[in-house]
Amino acid sequence: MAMNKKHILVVEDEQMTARLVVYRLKALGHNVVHKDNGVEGLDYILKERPEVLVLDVMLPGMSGFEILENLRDSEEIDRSSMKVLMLTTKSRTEDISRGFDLGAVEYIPKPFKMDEFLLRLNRVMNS
Amino acid sequence: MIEFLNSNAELIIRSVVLFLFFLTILVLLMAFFSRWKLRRRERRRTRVTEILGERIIRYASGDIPIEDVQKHLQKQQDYTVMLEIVNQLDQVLGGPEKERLQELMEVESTRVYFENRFRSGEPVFQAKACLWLAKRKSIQRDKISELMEMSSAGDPILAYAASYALIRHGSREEKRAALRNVLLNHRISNMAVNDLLHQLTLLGEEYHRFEMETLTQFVADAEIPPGRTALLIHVLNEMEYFHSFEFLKEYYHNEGGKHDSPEVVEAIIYAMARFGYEEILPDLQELYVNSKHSEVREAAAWAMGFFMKEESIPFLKWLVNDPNYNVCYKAARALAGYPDIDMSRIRHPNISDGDWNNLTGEIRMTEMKGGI
Amino acid sequence: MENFFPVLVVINVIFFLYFVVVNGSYILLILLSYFQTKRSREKVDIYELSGLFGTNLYRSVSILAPAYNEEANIIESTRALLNLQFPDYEVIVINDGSTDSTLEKLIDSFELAEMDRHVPKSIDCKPIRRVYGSRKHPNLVVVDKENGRKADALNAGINVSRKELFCAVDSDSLLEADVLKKMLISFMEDDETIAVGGVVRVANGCTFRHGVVEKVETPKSFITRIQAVEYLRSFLFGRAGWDYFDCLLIISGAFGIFDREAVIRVGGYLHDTVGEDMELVVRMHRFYRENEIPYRIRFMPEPVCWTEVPDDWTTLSRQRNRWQRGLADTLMRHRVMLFRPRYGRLGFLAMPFFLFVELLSPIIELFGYIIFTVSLLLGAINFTFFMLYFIACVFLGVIMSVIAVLLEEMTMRRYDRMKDVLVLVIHAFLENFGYRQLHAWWRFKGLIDYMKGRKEWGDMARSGTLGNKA
Repeated sequence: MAMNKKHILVVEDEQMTARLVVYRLKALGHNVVHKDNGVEGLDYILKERPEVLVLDVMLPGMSGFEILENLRDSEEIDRSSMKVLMLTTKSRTEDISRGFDLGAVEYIPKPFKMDEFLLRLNRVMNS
Repeated sequence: MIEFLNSNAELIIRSVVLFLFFLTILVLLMAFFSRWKLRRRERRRTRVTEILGERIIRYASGDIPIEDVQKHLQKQQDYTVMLEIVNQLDQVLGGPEKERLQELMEVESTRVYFENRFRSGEPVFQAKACLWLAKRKSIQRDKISELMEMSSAGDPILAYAASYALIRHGSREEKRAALRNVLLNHRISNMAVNDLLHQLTLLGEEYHRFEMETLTQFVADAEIPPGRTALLIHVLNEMEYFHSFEFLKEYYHNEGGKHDSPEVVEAIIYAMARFGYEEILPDLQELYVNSKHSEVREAAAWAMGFFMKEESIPFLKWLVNDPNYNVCYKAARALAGYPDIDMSRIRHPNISDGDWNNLTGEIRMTEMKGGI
Repeated sequence: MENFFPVLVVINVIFFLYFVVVNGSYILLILLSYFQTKRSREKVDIYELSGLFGTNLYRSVSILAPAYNEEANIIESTRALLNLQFPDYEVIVINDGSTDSTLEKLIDSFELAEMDRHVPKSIDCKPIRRVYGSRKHPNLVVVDKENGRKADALNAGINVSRKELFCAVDSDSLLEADVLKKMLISFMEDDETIAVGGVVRVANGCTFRHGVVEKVETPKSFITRIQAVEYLRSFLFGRAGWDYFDCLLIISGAFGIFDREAVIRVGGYLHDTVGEDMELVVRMHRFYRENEIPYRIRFMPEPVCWTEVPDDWTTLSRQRNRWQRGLADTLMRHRVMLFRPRYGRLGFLAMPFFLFVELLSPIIELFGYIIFTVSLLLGAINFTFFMLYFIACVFLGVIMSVIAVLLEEMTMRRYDRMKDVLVLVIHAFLENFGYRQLHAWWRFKGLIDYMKGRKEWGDMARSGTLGNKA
């Protein structure tokens, strides 16, 4: 188990959803940090370099897409070391493809099933 | 009068002062008393929100039994807090977590609390009870008929909430009837209707066949006002219900394309173009570019740009001269989409050269960013 | 001489009764706003806005923030505006020909680059020099224009904006993160809503972090504390009370959301008035009534905007002077609305109230003080009478303010400590000794200035500096 312990950042502005996700991830032994707006989320990523990102698209301050754009343009960040999973209500096809273009590995539309979320997250982490 | 005021001046003032004195004392006492009470209640609420939030999360994750949540529900306000929390989670969750949340709505004490509100006769309370019903796994049949009655209530909030519950629990016919009530209630805003339609589309039955059929039925419904019809067409378009294409095509030719309401014409032009129906091009070029409604000309410009056919170019160039800014902008955008058009050479008599440069520059920018 | 005394006494009593009626109507308004506030609070959480993030069929908002020589806090306030919880809104900062480094600061910290944006002249305004976009924040637009006034800057912002609604804010005020969502509820409740005002509260003394209110405390100085009481009374409860009658005449320039098309329809903000915020709302009322279009102008007691209030007497006196001139100007321009049946309750209730109570009260009040002193000196009234009279006035003032503070607690629950409430109550009491009279004097001077200004209109139009910073 100890080997699979990851440093995960959850950027999500809906308090209860965030708390639920954080609770489950913590229960699995991960090191989880939560930010509820895009600007603080990006600051954290740049400073602390989490291994996995769980991103919402619609965020106050800066959207999930903008965070990804910023990361793409940033030279100091090695994107391949950071896995991105989008968790969002925006599920129109063009949005999904935009997420993937920007480097997201998984895209989970809300409403979501927790088990499926964890399963996909696992896959992302082990890929 | 003057006589009276003069002789009784002191009495008048004395009595007013005395009255005000008691009033001040009363107000002050009330102020401090209620302040004290409120503060207690408020503190309790913060604490309860924190505890319930944590319990509900653990319960929804299947880590603690339902009783562990229940024992924290002691006062009336706790139920409201719980409903708020469950509402937030319910929106985003599916699977076993969602089912557990629904079970929470079934607990005896919760039921009693909301049943009372449901019968209170006060629209806002009743509306909240309706939302509670909506969150439950299933509801008794006798509730349905009451909800149906509420959905045709004049009060927009109650009608909205009752239809919300019916969309979750009613049979197909009931869902339709409730939505129709809402569509006919002019006091409910388009945004609220949109919310309900969104709820409907979340159901996702049989590849959205039911939702699509419901929406198209309403489009064809003559009693539904044109503003709503336009909204319905926009939703069909927005949700990408391609199966509604055949219907919309028929509707376009029989009715929609010639509708008196510019909103409907605008909506149907966008939908037809998005669904790739090139046969509207002649109409766009002959009919709609000359419409007296700017929103229709705007839609025409956008649609011609969408199809990007050679023969539309003169019409688009013509629309660039439109007195309405939005039409001109859409036309310019459409033209910019053609690979071999030099925007700087387009005639633009209504716009100064500087403004035209800004306009074309903006179009280039948005294209680079990949906007719509 | 003695024969004249009874008349003096009668005049005094009449003034007293006027005073009682005025304050009585304020108390009534405050009580009505209590019910109104409770009602709209209940409604707020019915609509779920579930489709808000899912579809594009919701109305979106442009925030218009005019800035004139705001280098000190422009970065922080802009950043706060970018942090609101709302999908797909845009922030338009309008640099109104600042002579300091406002624009340079914006360019540096948001990595602005000049961009092409065609700006249709929907409303007349001073020429726009450049439009900037930000590479860091796609929803930020900065407009650099020639100096006009606040009204002109807002008009330019309306022209630049592309959303259905716009929210006019002062660049020195701070919006709470969920205000837009809450304001949208009014538009969701009723399609006919064309404007919504929110609560403006005193930010002095509160603690902010990342543009979010962390701790709400009463301000530290006497002058700001008095204003805290005033704001609670008038902004929060006066306006909610008018909302009860459905004739809200003022939406604060510091914070209000408007339907963009509706504002363009009535011609936008007026350039040559000092009270452009009130004038616009009254003009919208008038236009919609005259054209018999159904509409709603609402007040929402919940969404809150925090604003820095003046901390020195000179600025405060200037601000109140300006408010009074704005009020006078608006009422003058729309005087035809008085007592005309086609304007309904506006013509028979709201306009007369603003005329006789808000506008003329300083004259009546000051005149009352003079008569009163004269009567006392001449011996027409005795000292007991004087004391009683005075005490009654103080009581009324205290009742009014205490109810306001109390209701604020019952509906908003913002001040966390008992001490803060006590401070407010004490200041509601102290207000009556000196401040009240001074306030009447400022407003009286405002009226005089207005009357002078009407003769030399051009001068007044130019002398007005940007109206948004007091």
